[in-house]
Amino acid sequence: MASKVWMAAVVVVAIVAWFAGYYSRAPAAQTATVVTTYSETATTTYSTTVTTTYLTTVTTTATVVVRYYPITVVDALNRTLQIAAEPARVVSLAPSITQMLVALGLCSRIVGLDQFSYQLLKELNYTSCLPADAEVVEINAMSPTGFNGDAIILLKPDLVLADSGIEAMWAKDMQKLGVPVYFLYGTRAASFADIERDVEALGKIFDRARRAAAVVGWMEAELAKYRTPTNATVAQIVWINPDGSFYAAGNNTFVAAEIRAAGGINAIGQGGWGPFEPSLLIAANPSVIVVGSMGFNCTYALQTLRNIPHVSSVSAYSNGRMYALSGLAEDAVDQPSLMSVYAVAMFNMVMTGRAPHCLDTRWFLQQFPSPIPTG
Amino acid sequence: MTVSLGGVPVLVDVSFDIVDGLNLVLGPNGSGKTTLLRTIAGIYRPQRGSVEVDGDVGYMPAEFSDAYMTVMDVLLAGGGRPPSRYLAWLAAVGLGGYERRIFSELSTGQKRLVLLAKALAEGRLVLLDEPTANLDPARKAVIMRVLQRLKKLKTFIVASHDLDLVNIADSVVLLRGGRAVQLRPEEVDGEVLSETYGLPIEVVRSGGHKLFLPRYDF
Amino acid sequence: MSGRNLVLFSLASLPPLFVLFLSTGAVFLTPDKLFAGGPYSVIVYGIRLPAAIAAALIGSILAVSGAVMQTLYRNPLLDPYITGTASGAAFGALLAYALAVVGLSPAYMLLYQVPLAFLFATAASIATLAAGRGRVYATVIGGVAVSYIFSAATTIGLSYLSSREPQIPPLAFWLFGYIDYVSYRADALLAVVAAGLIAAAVKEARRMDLVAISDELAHVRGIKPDRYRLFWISAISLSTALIVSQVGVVGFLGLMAPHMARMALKNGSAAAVVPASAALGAPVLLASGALARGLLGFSVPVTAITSIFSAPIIILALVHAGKRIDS
Repeated sequence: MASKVWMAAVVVVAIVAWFAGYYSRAPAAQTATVVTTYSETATTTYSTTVTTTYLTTVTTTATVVVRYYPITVVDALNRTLQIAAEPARVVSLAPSITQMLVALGLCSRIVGLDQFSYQLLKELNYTSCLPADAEVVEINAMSPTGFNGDAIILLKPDLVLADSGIEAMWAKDMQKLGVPVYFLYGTRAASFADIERDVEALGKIFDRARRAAAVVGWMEAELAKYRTPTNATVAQIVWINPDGSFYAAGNNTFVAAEIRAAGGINAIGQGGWGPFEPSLLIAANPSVIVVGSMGFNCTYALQTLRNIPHVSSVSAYSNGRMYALSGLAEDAVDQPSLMSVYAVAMFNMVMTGRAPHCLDTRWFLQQFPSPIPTG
Repeated sequence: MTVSLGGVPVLVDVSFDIVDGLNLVLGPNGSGKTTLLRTIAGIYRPQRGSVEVDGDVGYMPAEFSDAYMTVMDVLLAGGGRPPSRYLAWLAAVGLGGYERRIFSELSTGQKRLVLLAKALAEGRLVLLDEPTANLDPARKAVIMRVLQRLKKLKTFIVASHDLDLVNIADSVVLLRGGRAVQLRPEEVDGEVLSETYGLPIEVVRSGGHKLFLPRYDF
Repeated sequence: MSGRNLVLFSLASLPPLFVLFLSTGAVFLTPDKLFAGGPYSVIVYGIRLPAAIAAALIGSILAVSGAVMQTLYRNPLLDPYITGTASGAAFGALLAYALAVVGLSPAYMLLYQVPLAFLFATAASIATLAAGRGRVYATVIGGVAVSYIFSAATTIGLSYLSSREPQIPPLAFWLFGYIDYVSYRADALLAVVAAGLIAAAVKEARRMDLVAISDELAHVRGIKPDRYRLFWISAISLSTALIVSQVGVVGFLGLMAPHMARMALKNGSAAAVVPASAALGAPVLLASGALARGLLGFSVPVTAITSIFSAPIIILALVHAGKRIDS
């Protein structure tokens, strides 16, 4: 019996000690270690000029060093990181992040990007700005370990950028990869201020604060164009179940912020994405319905609305104010990032009746010829 | 001694001497035979009085699970005796060579014998709870023969309501209403049995042993 | 097959299975890359090796735990999660998210997930054991009830949280188990637990057999069966809680490994099955983990693979049992 008690005590002490060790560690403070190949900071130079006359004059010019790095930053999950030098090799794990990198002129540093980011760049015809050795990192957003750590490690990045919304569950295990990971607000953004904060955060990390400010300024200018309030109530539906229950943008989602920025009102009064009962839609009675096509074509997406019982009593339906998003238009609405300003433009056009019923990639590129400001 | 279970007195003021050989404890259902056995084994502690036992105690339970393990595993389970000892007693009860057989595949009688062998190996004093219950006459005879043979080497206390065991007993303790009466086997007659069991029981002699015939009322 | 041969065979299968585990993953590493060092060494030694060690240790712990439970509770359908550790851990993880969402720092989600999962897995076990107090039937029923209560709380909490914070991460990890990223420190702790549990179980195996045969006999030999069961199920629950908080729920192994041992050894005694299970658990989970990571290029939950393994085993075991009962 004594030996049993002793064994139990050893196990309990071991567990307690382990947890004590766990807490005595600060949340990961990581260091980027790779030295950059180019720097934008001034270096010290000394130059001597000697003039040969009877008098020798020695002139020395010295320029003062202002070293920008190392810096300490805090990410959207409140993790602290130390950036020792400007990151030259970057992995982006979300399209919203990739958009920002391109806008900041950092596309040539993207050595790895997720398959959705690559898809976006292809649709925008921007893949040529990627470096020659860039690779697509296949991620699985449904899996807690789906960040493809092996591929990331082999790319030897200086920094990995991830989304603190759908990718937050990866944070625990990504820390074990031994590469610095920075989480942006991304899909957790509730307003445009959050997106702008992400842009500025990237500006800080890459020492491109001025460029970041310019991008933010551009966003604000675009948004200002659409700020006139209308009385339109918009419901953005993303999926409809066979029984008529549906998933849609609740009032605390980013899509709702886009609708509000466009001068409209989000019809769904509850929070989250659902699933919502059909009666909620009927009671809300939106004047406009926008449907995401989720991989199907526009026409089919609009047809699925009929699965909702009594949808004909909704004013949007009876007035024919139904619109479907696909391709780049859908990306712009779904991905909280730079192109969301176009989402605001699109919602505004939809609400004022100036949009076709199918907003697809071709229409999008016609309306917005150079979606990401790379200037 | 007095033993109470859950506040209810089961045995009140029970005392008797354990003699060499086979001590038979008889009594109707609920008279406390199993309680007595368990108290002697040390499972229960008497509220008053004490149990004095010299040496180890072996126990053969009335009920046991149908374990899917070898006979040897059953013998070695929790016992702490050397395997050779268990094998010797296994042979002594007539099951020599059965150690590799699967316990759950044996007949009820054979299983009982295995547990008897185990109890024999584990103590000088061996307590048996209903060793002959649910056995056909031939199997019962085997057990009785084994007990008869081995009571020279061990001290048995058998709790049972199998009256045939009186024939191999060296002492009989009758329990009724929590009280005990100790008798020599010759003194066990119809009268005292009828009083114990509350049913007329006739004793008949046949072929050298006593037969006990309850008079059923039908 | 004799017990010794089974143990030896299991141990002998460990090195090749280790190599298999180290090779599989999103990037398949052929032997030249495995031992070459260079860029792959981070993957092999920093990530896959500690995970492989964890898989072997966890496999042993779960298998031995299942064997002990099935013996002491005389029920071949028990597994180590019976005290509600799985649902408790999921609830603890959800609570970490809730703390992050409710306005405390999101870092709480990261920092406190593992300890909270462990805490609530243990709390669930304590609730079950308090209800059951070592008695066979009460413990099993209590465990079922506790599991359902925590599952319900988790589901309701999740629905509430996702309406407040639309991008709440799914709880897949806690429900299905992934042995992909384990630290060496966790390995050390698992090793201590494995050594303690297995050594104690092997030593106590004969006494466990006695408890299985008859509670009365156990009493006579100085074992208090209820208290004995309570001790073991507490030790097992604690170990299981530790495992769940590290890698999520790895199902079926605790249920299946003892059956495999029983069928191979044709003997169900703890003395035979406990060491055999401990030995079998490691290679089985190593193989399952390797398959889980390697089959599709991304990790599927380990439980999916162990359940595929278990199906034929359980069917065989039931057929065997059926034959025995009928004969």
